[in-house]
Amino acid sequence: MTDSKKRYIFKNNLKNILNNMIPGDEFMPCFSHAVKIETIIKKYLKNKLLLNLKKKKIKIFKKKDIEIYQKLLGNDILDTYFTSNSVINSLNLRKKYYLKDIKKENVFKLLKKAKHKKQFFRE
Amino acid sequence: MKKERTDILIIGAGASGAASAWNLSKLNLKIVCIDQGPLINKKEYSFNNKDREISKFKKFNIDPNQRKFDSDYPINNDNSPISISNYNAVGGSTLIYSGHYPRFHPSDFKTKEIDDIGSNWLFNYNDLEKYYNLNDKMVGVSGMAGDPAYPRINNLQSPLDIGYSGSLIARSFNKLGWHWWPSYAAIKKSNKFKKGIRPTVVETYLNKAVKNGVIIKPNSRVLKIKISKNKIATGVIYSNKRKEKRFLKASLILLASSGIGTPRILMNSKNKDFPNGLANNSGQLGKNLMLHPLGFVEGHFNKFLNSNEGPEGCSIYSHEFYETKKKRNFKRGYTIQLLKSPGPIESFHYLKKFKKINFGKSFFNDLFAYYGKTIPLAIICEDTPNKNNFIQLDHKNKDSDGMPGIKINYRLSKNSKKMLTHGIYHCKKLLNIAGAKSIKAFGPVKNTGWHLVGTAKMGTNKNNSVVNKFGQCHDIKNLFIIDSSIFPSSSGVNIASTVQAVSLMISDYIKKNFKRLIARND
Repeated sequence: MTDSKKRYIFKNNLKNILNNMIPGDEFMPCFSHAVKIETIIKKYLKNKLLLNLKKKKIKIFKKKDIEIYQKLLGNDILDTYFTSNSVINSLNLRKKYYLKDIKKENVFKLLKKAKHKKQFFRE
Repeated sequence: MKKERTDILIIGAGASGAASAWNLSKLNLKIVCIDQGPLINKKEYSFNNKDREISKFKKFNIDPNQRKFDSDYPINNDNSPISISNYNAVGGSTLIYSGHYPRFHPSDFKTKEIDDIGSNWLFNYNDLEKYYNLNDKMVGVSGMAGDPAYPRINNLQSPLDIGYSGSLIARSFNKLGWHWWPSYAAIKKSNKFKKGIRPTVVETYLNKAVKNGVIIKPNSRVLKIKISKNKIATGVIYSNKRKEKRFLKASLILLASSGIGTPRILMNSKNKDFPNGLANNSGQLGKNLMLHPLGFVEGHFNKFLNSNEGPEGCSIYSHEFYETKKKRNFKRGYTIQLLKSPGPIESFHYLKKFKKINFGKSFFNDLFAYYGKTIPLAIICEDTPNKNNFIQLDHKNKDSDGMPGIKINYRLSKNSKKMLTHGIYHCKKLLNIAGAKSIKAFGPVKNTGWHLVGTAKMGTNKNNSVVNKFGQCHDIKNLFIIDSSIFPSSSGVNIASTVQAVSLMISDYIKKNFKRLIARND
């Protein structure tokens, strides 16, 4: 198998795994929609624990293998995912949606309602 | 060994060293400010960086034992429930601090007199007020005037937004009739950045000092302060980035290396005249370590509160339980601070620790059940001086120059324990009223030894203290300490504002008396 073919298979398998780990929801994109897989490939292409991913396209991963991949990739993919611009934008959209019905009172009004003594400190 | 010369040498370019460097830069003298850490590009430590959450655990980790940079020294926390947090670089811990910026209360300066606990200062709030005001102006402190917990504070910049969680907790404070107020912060409000813009002392003081001619020497660790036969400090031996040893001669030396860094240098500088550490005829050096035991109470809510946004530190605070009250079973008191909840990456790691999240289908369900839905409160307890809480040199663990590290020997007092219990109980009450569906609480929190106070205390004479009210060592007249080591009490608030105000006050004294102080050297 040529190197480019191996790389292609590796990329597809990795994409599959990463989207399995972070699948996305109604607001949040799945991993591959937020981060270019190429940025991850560079770091892990020569990793011995991921050698299997170069051999053939894997449709269903074994639970045991998934655990290994999660342990290996977990921190990196979290960091790259949550610092990507599209995820930051999605988090903002999500925030706006969930805050639309929540009341935020003005700080001056809140302070007016406080039952503070005139002087609280001791001279 | 190559020799250099300066009129004034400041050891440490953090909060206190930077303020004095700027204040003294108005004199027509050669001033060098030396620091063991590097000069870091401003862009790297901005709170508004996308990777801020990640860098908190890497380059800007608060724990020197995890960073293990060349500029760090080992700190052995085995004998303490609280471990030390700091940052060694030009700008010091202000590169990573939250920017919460309250002043001490007037009562903090006389706890012995009014509450029969701790030690009195040799000056009071009124003496320091002028310097608090100057420092607020230099730093650009935001907040709101009219706080009944303090004498009038003017010229504050617009207060920071207290957010949804602040608004919710403020309503609960009001229901209970407890004091609360928007936080004082060394952060400027910004429309662009939700966290605001938080300058460090590099921007507020050091850049201005450099314009006035002050020389900053990064990556230069002071190994020893040398003294003459007549007990006058003559200069320091330091090691530069290439580990070359140099002698820097100075007419006046100011130590500004924090509550553990300063005594460490003095202990490492011991000699025939001072076998227990330089300027330590009193035997007080390294003793009376105070750390602000911190309690943590976190309320979990059903609805999204966006509590992960806002200033890095505290958005509102309460001094309801700050002053001594006879009916309580402890003396002095604490601050309640409303903190920001963690961002998505930190939330994940937190949930992972409790096995409450996994990658896969449930990833976002698990994450968003926590993220932005919790309100964390911190209880900052006033600590009181105790000679059994002390630091010592750790000869087993050495820094990159072969100098001994520091060992912390610290126990919580009964007073602090009672205060923590009281604080946790009352924070739970507050969160319950706010509608929390569950509450977690614990304390003291391990990695919270930020505020390092009392290890070279000020006092009336050379038998009971290391320095006088101007930070001048009783034993070595041209050696000054300008950091929090000299504080006789800790207060129950973050110390940065007071550290800088005290540094400005001492450097004002040096400015006025420089010729006289130098004349003594002859």
